[in-house]
Amino acid sequence: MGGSPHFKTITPPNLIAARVTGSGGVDPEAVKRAESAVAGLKDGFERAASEQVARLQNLQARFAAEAEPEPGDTLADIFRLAHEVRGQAGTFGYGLLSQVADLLCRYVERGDTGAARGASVLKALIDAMAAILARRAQGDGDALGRQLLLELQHLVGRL
Amino acid sequence: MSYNFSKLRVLVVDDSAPMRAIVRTILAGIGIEHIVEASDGAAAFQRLMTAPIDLAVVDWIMPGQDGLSFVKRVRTGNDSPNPFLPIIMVTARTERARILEARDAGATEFLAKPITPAGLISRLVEIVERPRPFVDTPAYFGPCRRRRKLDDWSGVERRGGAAGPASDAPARPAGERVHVGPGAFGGRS
Repeated sequence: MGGSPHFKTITPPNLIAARVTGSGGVDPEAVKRAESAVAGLKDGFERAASEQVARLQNLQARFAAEAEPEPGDTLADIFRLAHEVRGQAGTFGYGLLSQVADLLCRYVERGDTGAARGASVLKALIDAMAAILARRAQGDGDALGRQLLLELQHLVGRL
Repeated sequence: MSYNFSKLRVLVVDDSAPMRAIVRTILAGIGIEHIVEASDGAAAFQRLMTAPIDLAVVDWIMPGQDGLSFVKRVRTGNDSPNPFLPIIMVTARTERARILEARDAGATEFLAKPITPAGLISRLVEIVERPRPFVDTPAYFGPCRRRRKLDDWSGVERRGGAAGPASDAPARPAGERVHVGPGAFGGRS
């Protein structure tokens, strides 16, 4: 320990290093095994994401139909599902899908989803996610994908 | 000989079962056998209380006690079983303010989604090879927030040289700018 009475530095025992043997570096074969194992989860992700987007579409319809009550629960459910897709999509190569899901999360977080415009923005974002998945459009998207993202960003506005 | 991680005991915290599966799959792929899971910060803390854990990989956004609250509780809670636990904070949000918030809560590393094997493994290696000293001040307890010595830095050294971790870490003057890039907190990916 060292420093003034108001500032101390502590060097804790490096317990984690004590449990790791070997002289350094990560076996490239082990990394490949990890990558291959993660890739094996991809089909499951595509199925789950399609179901999640279908649920998002139902939630959006419910949100649009809600007259003027507190739509907080519906929006919370929309956020949770979009957050789930956002978190996983990039790992499985669906970068564009992840970016659109991120837009959806941020739009909900921003909290100005009121009135009819809110419902239409939500619909545009969720329908875009559905289209990306239906086409199995991986990566960050081709020119069409980039254009789609730009238009969605414009629609959502400054975040 | 390459690292053998098989004896590490890792806690994976995420409300999303598929996300936990991704992290578990990566960790298992590099030989880690002892992996326990929790679906929120409160459950994770209970795990820490009852089982030896060497490292936690924690998602930020979770219902109930989120990742940030978990980190703060581990670092400063009176009942924390290991305030020095290495914690990798995972999040989809990488704005500067968010990174600073995780850093100031006491996260050891920051991992942006999408999670990839290379990204997660690099954070693990960083923790093994470059452990940070801890700093204890009235306002902060956690890993030193000035860990990185920029080897290629050619500017003026304003922090008293490289005499050791203590010289690296005094409380910064109010309003001082802090560089927070991938190399400043969380490394590369």
